[in-house]
Amino acid sequence: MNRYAPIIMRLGIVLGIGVFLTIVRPEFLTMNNLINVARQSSLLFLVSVGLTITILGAGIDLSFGSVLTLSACILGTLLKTDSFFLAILAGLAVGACCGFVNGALVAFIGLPPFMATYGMLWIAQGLAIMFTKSEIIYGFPDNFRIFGVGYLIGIPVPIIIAIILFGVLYFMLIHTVLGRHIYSVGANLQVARLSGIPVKRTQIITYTLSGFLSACAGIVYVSRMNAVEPAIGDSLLLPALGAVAIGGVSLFGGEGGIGNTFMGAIIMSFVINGMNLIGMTSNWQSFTIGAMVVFSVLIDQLRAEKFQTL
Amino acid sequence: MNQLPFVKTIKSFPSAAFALVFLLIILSFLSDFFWTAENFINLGTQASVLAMISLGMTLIILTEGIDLSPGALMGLCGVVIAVYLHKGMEIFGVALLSIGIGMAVGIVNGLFIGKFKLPPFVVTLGTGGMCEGLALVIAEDSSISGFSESFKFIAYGSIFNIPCPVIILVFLVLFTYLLLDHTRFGTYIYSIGGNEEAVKLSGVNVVIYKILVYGIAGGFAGIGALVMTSRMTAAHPTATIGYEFEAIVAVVLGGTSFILGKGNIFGSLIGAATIALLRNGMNLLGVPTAMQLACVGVFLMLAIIYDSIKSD
Repeated sequence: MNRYAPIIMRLGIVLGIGVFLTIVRPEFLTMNNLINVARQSSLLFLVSVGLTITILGAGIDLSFGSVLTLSACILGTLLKTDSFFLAILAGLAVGACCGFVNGALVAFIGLPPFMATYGMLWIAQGLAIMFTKSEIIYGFPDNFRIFGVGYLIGIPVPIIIAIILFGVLYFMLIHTVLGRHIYSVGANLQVARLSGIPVKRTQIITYTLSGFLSACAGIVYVSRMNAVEPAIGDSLLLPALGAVAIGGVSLFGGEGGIGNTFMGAIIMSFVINGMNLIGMTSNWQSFTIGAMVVFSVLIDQLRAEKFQTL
Repeated sequence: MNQLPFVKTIKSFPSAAFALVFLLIILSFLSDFFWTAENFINLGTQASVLAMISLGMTLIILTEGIDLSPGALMGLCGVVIAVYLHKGMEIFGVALLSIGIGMAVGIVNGLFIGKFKLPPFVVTLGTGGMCEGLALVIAEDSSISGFSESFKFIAYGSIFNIPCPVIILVFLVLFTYLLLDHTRFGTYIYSIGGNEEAVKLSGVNVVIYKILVYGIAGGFAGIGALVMTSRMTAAHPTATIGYEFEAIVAVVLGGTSFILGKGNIFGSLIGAATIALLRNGMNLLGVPTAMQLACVGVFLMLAIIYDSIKSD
């Protein structure tokens, strides 16, 4: 099995879904719908990158959805009263802080990552509700809304942001010391420590980065919806986990890359778009996404086992 | 360092014990309504459902696993219970159905985790999402209410002045205690958490035991859903989302460790009582639900930090 096989397999899946949808629902293959799917996948990609980085480091960040909510709520509130830059800066800072706390709990207290971030999930959620008093904040200035609904040379801005972020993170993971450290910590923490890699520092940076990236995604979300409420990030966890798992990032850490998540986000958005076109209700969709997460992890695991025994 | 026996005894208590005493003192000052029989019966009912889920969670955490699906699973069981009650099924049949669904989902979890070695939190998050979706589909996005008086007996009835939920809980505690401390099964659960590889090498079929553990926990969630539905006299598909979080916190507060196969169900019971007390107190004081969950989250962090300092 060569190293391109998983990528080719996934391109095949995308193509297969595309052909199937075109046959069943011809309106799938319209420019409008395709741009819609592209925009969907860029949004999904934006929320999945933080999760990807933590999973690469053999951790997980279950809290990214509510960290996104919290920073979005603070961003929205400040946009109403203070300056544009202050609001964005505060939102990003809050995201990074939540991430830092996660990182500190994992690195210094030694909590299992899912436990630390699961606690943070509820804490950030509660803080967001406390901060907004459960009210919806809406109607933001035009210059802020560019991030979500604007166009640059005919391409929607979220897509451009996603592509830039992809480039930056790809470079960071493959060509910088930090990126290589994340992979080594993810592959084998003990070995990484013994080879003199600053494991704790890497973990803290990883989680802080994850929080920061969630806050970035929050900016695009708020700008796109033109409204913030404390439930904005509630149902993001499963689709994002699905994008990461279907893309082929190993959930045990150290394997895969940002490109996998990019691919996974596209597949996931195709599926969700298809379910919408077929007229599946959102309730059935959450069932399907749950099943997709479990089975994509299962298939990857079975493939890995087969690979080992060969 | 030599320590007085008294200090040693205190140090051996799980953090839940301190939190419980602390909360009891605080709440008796803050609310006049707290020390009333009505409130305590209410508290007992609340705590017993949480305790049921915590019992199952204790078994799972002892095997170094985690289960994030009980909240959604309870929602699914509750909705199915409601639908079949309306179709005229007897209470006994409904109870069996609920336990059956719980066990089935638990066994699926166990199969993926034990047999295929997938990460527990991913699997249970996925199956949880599936349960939530199914529950919403069955209930068509709304809550189902209107049950017979006899069904309400499960939560509001009492035998010899003891509320039914507490009686059910006592049976489950007895079952879990005997299972854990007086059978080979229990020894294996502890050893899987301590050193899974060693257990496997000594010829024990670890997969079967993991499947059973998740199956039992699922069954407990089914029983919990039965009491919960009866108590709320309605089934809402998403009302119990997040319940697993409280159960996990209860278990951790009760001193069960994530990585050593250490802990026991009595600690978890104290933990469940603490969380129920915390929620009850905050309800009395009018704290909104989301803030309550955030406080539970803070509690969790404090408990874990305390335990890790104590073990150093």
